[in-house]
Amino acid sequence: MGLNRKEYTLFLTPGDAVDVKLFIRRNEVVKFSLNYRAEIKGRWHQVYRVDSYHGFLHEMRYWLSPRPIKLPYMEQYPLSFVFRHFMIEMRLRFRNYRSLYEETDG
Amino acid sequence: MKRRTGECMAKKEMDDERFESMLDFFDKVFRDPEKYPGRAVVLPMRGPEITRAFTPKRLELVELIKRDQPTTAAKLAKVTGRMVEGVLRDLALLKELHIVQHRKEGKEVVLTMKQDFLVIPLVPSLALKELKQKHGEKSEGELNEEAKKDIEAARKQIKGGKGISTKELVEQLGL
Repeated sequence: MGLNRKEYTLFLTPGDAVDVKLFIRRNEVVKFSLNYRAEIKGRWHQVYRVDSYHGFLHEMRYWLSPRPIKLPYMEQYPLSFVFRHFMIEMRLRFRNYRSLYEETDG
Repeated sequence: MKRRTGECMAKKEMDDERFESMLDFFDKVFRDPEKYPGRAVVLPMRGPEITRAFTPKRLELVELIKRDQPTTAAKLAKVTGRMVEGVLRDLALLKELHIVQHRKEGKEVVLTMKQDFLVIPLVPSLALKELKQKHGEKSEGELNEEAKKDIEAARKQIKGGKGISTKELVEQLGL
């Protein structure tokens, strides 16, 4: 049975957005991605991402590199908890992520 | 000039109440994902903001853009029988709310809608409801003041009316 996809966008500020993707099988979320992007000088840039694709939880800190960084310490928790944790983390830290990205990319 | 509509929420950073409502929304999606739409911009809004932002004229514009995209402000003004200036004002708000996107093509502004939108109505928190029950209908600021007085009164009750500092309270509770 294939996966259904849900996609939502929310704006933390007019220039800071989080794209949420949820993959669903038999009415259950089986994987997700959270993608934080920022509008910098009129263009949107991917700054930070966390997802549970490819069978493991990982994050991408684009100001460092697009290489995935594994997050094994979070894998013991239910997916909804992990999702909620990273939503809160993203909201707390997005300004920091943004300035780190601007420093390296700007 | 004072802004008339729900523009304010579109200009600001998402506050705690909106963010909490967003988290609640995603909790519900995780519990029963098939119940929710497939693709949308999520807008947590208070009741009055919803009615101010989504006037019948603006909803008509949204429906027309959805149906006829890509389209222009001039075409929308013609179809709706409205002045272009009025249509542009409404489109500015819809753009601020990230419901419609626009790009310039020569002299024309081309309008599109990449995804639907989903409004999450904010409900007053339980604490706010309790405060209203106790102190009656007052503004949020006044209720905050009442809450501070309640906390002070509770502090005085402890320690035989002498009051207690936050530090002492934390120590007593063993936190």
